[in-house]
Amino acid sequence: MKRIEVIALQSDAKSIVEFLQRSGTVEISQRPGSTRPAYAGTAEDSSLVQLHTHVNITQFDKTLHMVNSALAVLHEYVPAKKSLFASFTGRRELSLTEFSARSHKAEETLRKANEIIALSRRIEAAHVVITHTRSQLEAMLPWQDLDIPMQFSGTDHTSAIVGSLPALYTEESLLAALMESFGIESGGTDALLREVDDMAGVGQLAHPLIFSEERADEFPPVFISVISSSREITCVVVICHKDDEPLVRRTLRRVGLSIHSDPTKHPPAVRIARFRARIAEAQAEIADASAQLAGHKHERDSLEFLSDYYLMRRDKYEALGQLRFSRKTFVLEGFIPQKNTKHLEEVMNRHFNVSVTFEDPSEDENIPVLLQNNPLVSPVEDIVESYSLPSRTDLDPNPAMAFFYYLFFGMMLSDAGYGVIIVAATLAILRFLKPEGNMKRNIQKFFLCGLSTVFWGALFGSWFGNIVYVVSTTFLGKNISLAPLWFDPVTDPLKLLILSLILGFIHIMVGLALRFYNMCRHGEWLDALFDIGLWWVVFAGLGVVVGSMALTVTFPLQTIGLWIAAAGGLGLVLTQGRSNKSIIAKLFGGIASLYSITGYFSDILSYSRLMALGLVTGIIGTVVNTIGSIGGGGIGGAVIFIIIFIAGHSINIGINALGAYVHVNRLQYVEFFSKFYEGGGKAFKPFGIKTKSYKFKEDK
Amino acid sequence: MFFALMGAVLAVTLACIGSAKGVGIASEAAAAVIIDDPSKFAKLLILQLLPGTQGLYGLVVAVMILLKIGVLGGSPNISLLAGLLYLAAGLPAGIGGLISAIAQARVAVTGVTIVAKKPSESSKAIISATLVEFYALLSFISSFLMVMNIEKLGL
Repeated sequence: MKRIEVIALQSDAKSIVEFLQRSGTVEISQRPGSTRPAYAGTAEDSSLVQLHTHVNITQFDKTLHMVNSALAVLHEYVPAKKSLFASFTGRRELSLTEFSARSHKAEETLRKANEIIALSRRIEAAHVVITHTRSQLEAMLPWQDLDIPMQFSGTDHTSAIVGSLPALYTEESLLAALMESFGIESGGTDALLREVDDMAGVGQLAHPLIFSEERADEFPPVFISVISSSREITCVVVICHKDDEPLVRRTLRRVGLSIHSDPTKHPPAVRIARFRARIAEAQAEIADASAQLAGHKHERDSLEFLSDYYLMRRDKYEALGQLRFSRKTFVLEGFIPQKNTKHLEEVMNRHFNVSVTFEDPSEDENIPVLLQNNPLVSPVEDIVESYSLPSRTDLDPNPAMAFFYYLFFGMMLSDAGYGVIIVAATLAILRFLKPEGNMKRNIQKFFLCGLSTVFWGALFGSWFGNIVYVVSTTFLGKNISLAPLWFDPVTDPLKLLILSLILGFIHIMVGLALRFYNMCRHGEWLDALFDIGLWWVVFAGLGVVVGSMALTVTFPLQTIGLWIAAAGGLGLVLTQGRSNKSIIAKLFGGIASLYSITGYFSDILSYSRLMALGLVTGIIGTVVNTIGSIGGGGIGGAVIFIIIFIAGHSINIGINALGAYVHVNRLQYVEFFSKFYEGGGKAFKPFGIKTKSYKFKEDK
Repeated sequence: MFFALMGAVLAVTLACIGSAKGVGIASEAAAAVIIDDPSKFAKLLILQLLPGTQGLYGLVVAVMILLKIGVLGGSPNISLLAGLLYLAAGLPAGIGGLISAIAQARVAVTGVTIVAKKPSESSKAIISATLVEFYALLSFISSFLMVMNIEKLGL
């Protein structure tokens, strides 16, 4: 990684920034704390200014937001048909001439975007109208049979009270309730006596009259008509003499009357018809706008282009904002990977009148990290990235990790048939769908993992479980089976367990070796010798013990091994407490360090998962085949077999590939990285074209 | 015979109960996230399935027991003592699977929140859930080794 500094004429600023954006190799970042650029002309330093581009950026953000919401509207109302493999495919290619042709149509497309958004607003507004009107309509429906307007207040001598009560009433029961309530309030006062004959002008109503003749001395005569009633609500019209109104109203309120305010002069039936018409109108509006939106579905392409286009311009202005200008020139600072320096300098000098200088970044800077590996290793870079990028004191763990990654993945899936499927599928995706970036690396990673799976599957003799044996015995009546190239793990699981643990031991040793190398690289060779070298002595001694036990050469070798291990242990006791101050603390520190042997022990045991997952795949595959063969030979049996074969093995491959992937990551992260790797680096984020739908070819 | 079969039954049922509960718990949490953002389905699927592996380990142990005692072809004829031994051998996979699947599901649920809030950190959520998985694997390995070696005792 190098520091790059570009000094050029102001008039070239835009085209240089555009060029850098297309090349995508420079991360623009100003040197921290250096306000003074490293070129002569001190008089001009104070006049170096930055452009205020955030106004433009906000503008672009607004436009981008608009275009994207237009796209979202299209996605919601006119969803595009996406193929199953859409997430694998790369961006569409666009040449530079096409690009400029399309960018000229930006205005027009923008207008379309506006139309689309306006249409979606219309739909939303119509939806609001519908919900609002519906609730009005529902409130009005109980009143459907009322043939006078709801605000009708009475005739010359009578008062009408139109309202609803929160319970179920009939005309009689309401009257009873009113009188009971009245009785409680006034104790049947004489002052409220009224003549029945005073009720006038009520006969014109079609509903039955209920006079409270017999109890006229207790409650004023009223006319009650129930319009509709249900358990929740009873709609009533109560008519009484004008003079009685306050009393009747008060009594009604005590029973729970609420007055509906309907400002119009039309009876409910008319209102209901109008509400219904309004809803129909809004629905027609929605249908109309949706149809128009569907007509815009061809705009999706140009909208996606526009979104990319404005994103690019926005990024460009953001970059421009980081430049510093004098009266005639400008300065651009940033990071560039070493491999790109030469090419960039050449091209820039050819096209522009510039001075390009490179220098090593200073020690205390937080230099961004760009991983760079050969094609076999680079597919696993994502795995390291999702853990943490290497800091500047770390080694790049990728090369060491890649080998074990593929090895362990294959060992855990360990079925040659599944490996072949993975290899074929990944090859097909790489060939026909042309994925990009991370997705491409992922697919490559699984391709290599698939190869390793075939390798291990062949060693263990597992092809879709024991497919050859089952098919040959069930359908051909012969007894053929593919012999494993090495050994069959199901009959000899102990051998596989030991193999797993040995591989784990090697993996951990490689991790320690990397730490040893890294410490030596930083000149801490003495620490490396004490911290790691002495552990190697212990492991070597224990290795001799275990080896001699396995070979049953007991006497001399085992004792020698024990002595070697003890010597290593003694060395650890003497050296591991060296950072402590007092002698006692040093000794305790040393003894405590011996406990980390349990850590190593459990780390190595952790690799038994290689065995377990490998066994599971093979045995489940075998079970699937056994179930499949229950139909016996013949056509029917073959059909059953094929169905069960496809379903069973798809499930098995899915769940075990998932298991292998997850556990191989864990082995790398927990067991391997903990030995030597710290992480904490910052990713290199070059200024480039970060479009979603299109990529641009350079016209040469 | 009955006891040996019981060993297979316990290995597979207990582990499957654990897996069913575990996948259920994780899926409930995942479904709540998918409501808001269906595009996270693929990432969440991994977390949902992780507690499901215990059932597989139980199945493998059960199948191995069935093979050894001759239920799947061969002559089913073993002594009472050997039967009891198979019963014992099935227990680690069953009980270890049952409890680890549920514990793993709880980690997975927290992992689902990680995916919901910071999708870029999903691999860390997955690794955390695998830490629990290891103990299911240990149970499985011990069951498996027992089942494989009981017949060598010659009982």
